Amino acid sequence: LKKNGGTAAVIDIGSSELKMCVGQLKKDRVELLDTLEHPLRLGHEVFHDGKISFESIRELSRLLAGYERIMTEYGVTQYRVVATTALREAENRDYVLDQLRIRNDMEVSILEEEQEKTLIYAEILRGGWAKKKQHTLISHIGSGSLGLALHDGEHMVFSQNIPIGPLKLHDLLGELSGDTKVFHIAVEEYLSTMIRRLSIPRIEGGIGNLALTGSEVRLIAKACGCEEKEGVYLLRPGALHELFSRIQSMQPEKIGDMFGISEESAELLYSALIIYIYLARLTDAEHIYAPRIELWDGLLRQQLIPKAAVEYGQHVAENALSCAVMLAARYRCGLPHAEQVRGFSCVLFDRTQAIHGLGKRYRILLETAAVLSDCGYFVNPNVPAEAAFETLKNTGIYGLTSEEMRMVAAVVAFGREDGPDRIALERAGLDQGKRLIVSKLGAILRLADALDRSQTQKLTSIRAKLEKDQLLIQGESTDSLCLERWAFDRNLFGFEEVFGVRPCLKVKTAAQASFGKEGKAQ
Amino acid sequence: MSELENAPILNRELSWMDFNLRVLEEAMDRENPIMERLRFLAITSSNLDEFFMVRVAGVKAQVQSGYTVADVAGLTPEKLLAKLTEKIRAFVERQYSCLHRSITPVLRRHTIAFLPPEDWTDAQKAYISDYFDSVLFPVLTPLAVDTSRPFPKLLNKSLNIAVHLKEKGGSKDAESHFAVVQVPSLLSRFLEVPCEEGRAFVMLEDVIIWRLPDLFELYEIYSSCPFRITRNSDLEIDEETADLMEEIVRSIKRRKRGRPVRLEILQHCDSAIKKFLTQMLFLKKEDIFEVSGPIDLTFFSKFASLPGFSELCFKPVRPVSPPADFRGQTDIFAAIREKDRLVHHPYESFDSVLNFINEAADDKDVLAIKQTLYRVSGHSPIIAALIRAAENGKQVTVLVELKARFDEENNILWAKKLEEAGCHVVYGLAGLKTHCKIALVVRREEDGIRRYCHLGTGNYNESTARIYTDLGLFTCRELYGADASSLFNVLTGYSRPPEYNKFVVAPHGMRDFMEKRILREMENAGKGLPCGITAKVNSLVDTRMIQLLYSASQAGVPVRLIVRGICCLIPGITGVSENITVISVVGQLLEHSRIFRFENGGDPRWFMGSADWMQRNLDRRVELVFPVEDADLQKRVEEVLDTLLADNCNARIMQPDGSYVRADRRRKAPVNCQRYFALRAAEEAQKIDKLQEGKPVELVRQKVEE
Repeated sequence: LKKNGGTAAVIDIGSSELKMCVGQLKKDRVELLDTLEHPLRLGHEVFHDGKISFESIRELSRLLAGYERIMTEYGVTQYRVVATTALREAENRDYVLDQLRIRNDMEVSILEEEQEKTLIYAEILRGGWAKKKQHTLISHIGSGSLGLALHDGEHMVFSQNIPIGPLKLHDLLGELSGDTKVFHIAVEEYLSTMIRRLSIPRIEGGIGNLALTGSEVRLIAKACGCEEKEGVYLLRPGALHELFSRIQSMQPEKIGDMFGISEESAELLYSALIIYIYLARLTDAEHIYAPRIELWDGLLRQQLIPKAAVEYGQHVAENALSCAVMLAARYRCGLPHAEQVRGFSCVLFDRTQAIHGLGKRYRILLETAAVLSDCGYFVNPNVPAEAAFETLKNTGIYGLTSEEMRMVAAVVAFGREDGPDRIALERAGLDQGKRLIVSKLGAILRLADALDRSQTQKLTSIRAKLEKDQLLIQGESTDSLCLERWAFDRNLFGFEEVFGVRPCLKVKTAAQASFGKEGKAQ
Repeated sequence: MSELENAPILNRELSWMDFNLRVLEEAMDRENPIMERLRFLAITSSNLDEFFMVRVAGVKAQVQSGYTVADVAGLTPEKLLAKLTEKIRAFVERQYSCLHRSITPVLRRHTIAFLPPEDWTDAQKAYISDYFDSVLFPVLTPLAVDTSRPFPKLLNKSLNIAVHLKEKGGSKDAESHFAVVQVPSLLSRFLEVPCEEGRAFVMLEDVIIWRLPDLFELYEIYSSCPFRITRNSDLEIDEETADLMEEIVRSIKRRKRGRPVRLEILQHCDSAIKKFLTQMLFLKKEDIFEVSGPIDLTFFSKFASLPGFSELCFKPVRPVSPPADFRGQTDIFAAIREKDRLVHHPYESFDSVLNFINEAADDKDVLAIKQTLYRVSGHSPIIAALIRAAENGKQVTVLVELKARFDEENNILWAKKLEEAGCHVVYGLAGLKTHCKIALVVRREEDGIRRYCHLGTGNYNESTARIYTDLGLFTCRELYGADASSLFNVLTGYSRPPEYNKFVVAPHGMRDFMEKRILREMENAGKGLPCGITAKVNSLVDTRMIQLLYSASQAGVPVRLIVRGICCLIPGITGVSENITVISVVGQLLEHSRIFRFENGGDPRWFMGSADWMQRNLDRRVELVFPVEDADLQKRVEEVLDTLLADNCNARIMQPDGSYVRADRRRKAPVNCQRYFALRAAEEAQKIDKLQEGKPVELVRQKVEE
């Protein structure tokens, strides 16, 4: 591991700001060298007109040229340019990206909401702001979106985003903002309608901890008289109410004067404060932790420390799975069966690497699909595959992008014998490459599901091995595997059609094991 | 503080006049060498020119626009103008009295004379005539003024001769004609002529007047008189314009033709000429200043620098090079890495700053250099180094303040050169002058990126660094580097102002910072903790700061102020400011550094920087004040303040009536702070040299006192 040297940068094109941070690796730690923030009006334009104006593109391009210059000044060799809500939602995003590519020679990755929030949540967990043996509600409030996640003390168990943030809220309800007496009521009611629909798991004993991040959190903490200590502001929920009472009837101009901020920032502060108070009400937290975490923290570390990217992948895998398990429980999926199928899927995936050629990220999708494979029965037992597909493709799972969730939905559906055909899969909006991957993962999932078709975990474990033109799967069982063998046989051809390899199941029964003979499933 | 809202505050223009008077006192001081006295006299004259061009012009504009609101000192513009005019007239009288009654006799004793035409010998006349024919005549352009030829557009501050003409052979009552001859500004104002003993000089305007008949052969010279106009020269700049540089070029042109605000003519000038000029220039009686001559004393500055006069000047301050903090160091970056370094100019050479930029320009590990430039010299080695750095592939960002008053043209020139060399040149933020003095070097080192900063109280100008006293801190402390980067990000327009770690930056945080510091001293006074404020600034004008200092005084906080120039605060008033003392140090060198010390309950804090306590510095400029954290350097800064406060040679103490009196030296050893700093710089350097050579240290100060 490189201990020193190496500089990297992250540029974040946000809804109301363009930000950049430059960091270097020093004594195994990422040290921030420079941070820049410049106000932008992208969010206003997109939330109001749906598009980003060319004036704003030119301004953005000019600033990016300056940022590139600053990167050169620090000898930055690797950088990432990411964009969030405003660019994500802009109707003319392709034109904007094209212009930035031509004018600045910069490739901009538009982060999906879930990616953006996961990067931040991962940093919150890394900082230890979610307490052990306690539930923590974690929220990141961006200018245009609000992310909520629930941590059970070990893992994330829920994650959801809603397309509303202080800036968007203000722009949406802007007409009412002149009347300060009704504005906060309108904002609160609107928020309530949005958040009430979220299926935040009910926790026995309540949620005892709240961690908030977002662009306005620092300002609000300061306005509440909080001092930052070791990178975190510790706020009392009551202090938020007190601040709200102070500024409730003030016009933004006066709020701006009071805290030395622009009128525009004051408007956002007002909307953000209402959101924060609302979130505080969802918990029983005595204190709110507001750690100083930015989107760039994780991205910077992943560039400077190769191990960090691997760790982040593991974090996403673990927590996506824990969220999937929680979701599966809510859809009353049999969890032992789900776990069994997940385990078998992993064995098959790992042992068939040579013929599927897929990376670790797809293993996470397969695991998630395996855990959720029975959720369709809860929705509509008559057409479980179809129901699962329709439900999951619009569901959010921690760390997974919407495209990945569509893939998961398709794998779940394709992983069932009664699943949709390929033409139906096209409805998932996946390109040919992704559909091919779905086919591969679906073929594996079908086989794994077949091995526990009775949902009684008769096969305790399996081993798999590729041999010439066949995939040899071996396992042990003390019970009759009639149903499993039947299901296995029904899915052989599908697997063979995808991979050109015929699976072969050999199971040792208890009697055979004692005499050293093997049963043959063919 | 409310009861102090009506506390006495001096008017800033009148206070400025008092400052110029303190400079004039130096010209009158018989203890000063004669050429230095002339130089001080010249400074008062150029100071007054600038004062007319900006401040008096401003007051006149207020009067003309009918503005009648009284200022914090209770003066309406009209009343102020009347007081100011009276004060200026008395001042000008003292200037010429000083020249004729005090300085000229001493010059004569040194056999140096300015000869009027009536005293010219034949030999001298021949010499002058020859000079006129060969040098002067070709560059003279007499301009007649009549109905077909309007009054010429005379340049600001140019010296001219008005000529009253009558046709040759005409009667005494014949029609008058007028003409104007500009005294060429490219030629020296004075001409040395041969003489039997000592040195003799004649004024250029006298030479022209003597030969006027050659210029107007068809006319009879009825009378003539030199005159000079001063114009309103405050630039009006539209900062919202797309091309700031173009806008400034346009406004400089406008300034050269601003409205006249002063006419200087010689006493006993022909009334017809006086009337002619008054009418042509649309001036009022109060705008006319009749002097005994010569008009425009600024030329004495050049005169005092003539070869052969060095014995009649101050012993020059020889900057110690390299300064003690860099003595024996071969690698400037290694030296700064070892510890923070402080340099005190001009006692310690400005070369250390030049070396910093020069080494950065050539160092292979340096990635970037960023610097602010407010006023730079004619052939600035700093600019040359920055250009070389850009040519060497460094990223060079230079903030050139195009709006630095009266240096605009020079700065435009340098800005273009820097741009041509590939530097990234920016002109600062709209509506704010960038006055901070900071240079940042980004260097790639074994353990990563390290930033080196030079933070100063004075401009990056090696010429003025020889006569202005300033302090500069070199540091590579991480938080200072981060703040420096952030400040440049703001100045280049790439980032909004951040929360600085160490820096205090105007306009966003400076006033608040200073006010909080003063309030903390008041709190400490209330708790019986050690408290006190010591501040050295060039000007103290800001009303809110003054009122807060009055409050501090009433709370029992001792406030010691060293204010060279304008001070609108009045010390020593019972019940208002009895705990405040104000001294003004005016001497051989121009006191320019800004230093602040707060006792902070027994844990004193030191700050230095570019900001005065004026509203413009706190609210309308980008200024930088930074803490001095190194314990050794804190001691040095403390010593600087203590020595300034102990001065009884250059210091004047402000009285409760607003006047200044010299420090009482009776039965006290003379303390000349500037001389002391020079000796100390030499002594420290010698100490280090001896230590390096392994020899015992001999104190220079002891030697001098012996």
